[in-house]
Amino acid sequence: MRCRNAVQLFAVVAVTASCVAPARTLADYEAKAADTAAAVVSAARTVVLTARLAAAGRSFGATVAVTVADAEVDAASARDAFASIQPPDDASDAIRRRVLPAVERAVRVIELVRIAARRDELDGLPAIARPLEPIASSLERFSTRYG
Amino acid sequence: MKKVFEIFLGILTAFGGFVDIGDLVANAETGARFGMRLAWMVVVGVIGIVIYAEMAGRVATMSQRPVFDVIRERLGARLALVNLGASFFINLLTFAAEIGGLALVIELVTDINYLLWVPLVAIAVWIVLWKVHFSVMEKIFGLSGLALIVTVLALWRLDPGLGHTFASARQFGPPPAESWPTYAFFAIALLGAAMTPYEVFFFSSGAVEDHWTRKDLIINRANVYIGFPLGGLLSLAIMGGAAAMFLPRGVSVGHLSQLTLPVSSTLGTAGLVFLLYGMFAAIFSAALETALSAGYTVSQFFGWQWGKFVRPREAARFHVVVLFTICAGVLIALTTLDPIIVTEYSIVLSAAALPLTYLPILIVANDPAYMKDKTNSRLLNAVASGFLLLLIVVALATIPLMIWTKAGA
Repeated sequence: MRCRNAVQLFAVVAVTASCVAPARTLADYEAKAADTAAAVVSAARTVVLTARLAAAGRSFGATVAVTVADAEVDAASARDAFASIQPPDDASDAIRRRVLPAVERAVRVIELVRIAARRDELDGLPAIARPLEPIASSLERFSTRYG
Repeated sequence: MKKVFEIFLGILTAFGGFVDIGDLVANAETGARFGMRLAWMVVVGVIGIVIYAEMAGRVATMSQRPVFDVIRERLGARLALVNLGASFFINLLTFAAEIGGLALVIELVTDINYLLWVPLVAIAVWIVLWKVHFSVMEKIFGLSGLALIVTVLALWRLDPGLGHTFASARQFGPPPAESWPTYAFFAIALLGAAMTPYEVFFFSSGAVEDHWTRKDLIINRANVYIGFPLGGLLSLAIMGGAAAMFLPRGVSVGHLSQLTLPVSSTLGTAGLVFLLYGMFAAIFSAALETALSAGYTVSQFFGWQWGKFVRPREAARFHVVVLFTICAGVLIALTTLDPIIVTEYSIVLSAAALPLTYLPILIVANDPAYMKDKTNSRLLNAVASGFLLLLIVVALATIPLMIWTKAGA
């Protein structure tokens, strides 16, 4: 019985520590938008770095493909999590309109980089990844302002 | 001359075998988020593991009995069973993380999903445990882990350079974008990564496996006092590389693949080959140690014959526990839980259980009935007791901080 209680407690702690809470106020929503923006900035800049290294012949095709695919998972997860949060008011709608399109653009570009990397077209990766830097810069400004 | 060579080899093995998946993940994540502001915790963790691993090795050498055996005798079966349960669970989680980490390294080389590699690396671990002699296994993988020295070279060549990066370690406290609770949570993760309980179980049981005698205490000290701090330098280099490359760009580390970037940007594909080989060897070594530690703790608690120094037939129950751990670790890894998340939880939960492992060692290391004339000095007791207090505070704070910070999110 004691063991079962311990397992239940551990499950509650693990779930509590990892779940995404809903946003009830504008401030909550802004904070979640800022977190999403930061996660996508991280993924986008990882891809930009990886693309440069790949084109310079400083990494292997398989390693490049896995690194970009991992970044894609991060960016797509951040997008899905943010898209699933209900905006609590009109001001939150405006935040959503500002963040979500940029995030979706970033995910699409990362997808293209991943496809090219898996085709071993490493020389062309920086050109495909080029749109990511301005997107990352704009999301970083947003994240700094609202984070 | 033979003795000197043996000591040198032991130091190199301890150096190369110090880092595991927990160190790789915790140091890279922390470097990317906090720069070198938590480097002091790596130093604290290394001092802690040095003190207690030396004690555990000395206890095993002097009593010719491994630590868990003595723990049960001193604490009584019931309290030791709690210790066994916690240690086994954390050990299993750590093993699952190591297996997942190995599969991720192979994925980085092949671009084939890591889940396909999980059963294969588990079989490889089992074959090595079954077939290869203890000291050969320990030395080959420990020495191969030295390839991780490329992380130091990479840090040296990365902008802003080795000196500047380490100078930034003088800053204490979180950067403006992070909170104190998150800073404390990551400090705990680093401590858990450096002082993972399996390390002392393996180290003390290894002393018995290697038939250490009083004359070998010098090897024990050299391994621990020189090898572990050198291993700690690798942890700091990983943290420094992440701090130099990722922090200024706002990149957070959540994948093993990102660890390749500081090395490949500075040392190219040659450096990357060394890094991948070093990561594989270091994690493989840790997978062997955790699987063996599971067998050691359970067998030593129940008083079964254990170890690789006897034929498998003579330690059948020990090998069954090791095999069970490998199978259970594979099942955990195959749930598709992210191995990096499993690693994060394993090191944080390790931190919560640290006093359970280290208190009995401190008690026994002061008992002349086991230690004869080799009990702890007053100075060592003072430092070790201070550490134990720190570990108790950490253990109490871990779970509340995990909930408060959403596991450092």
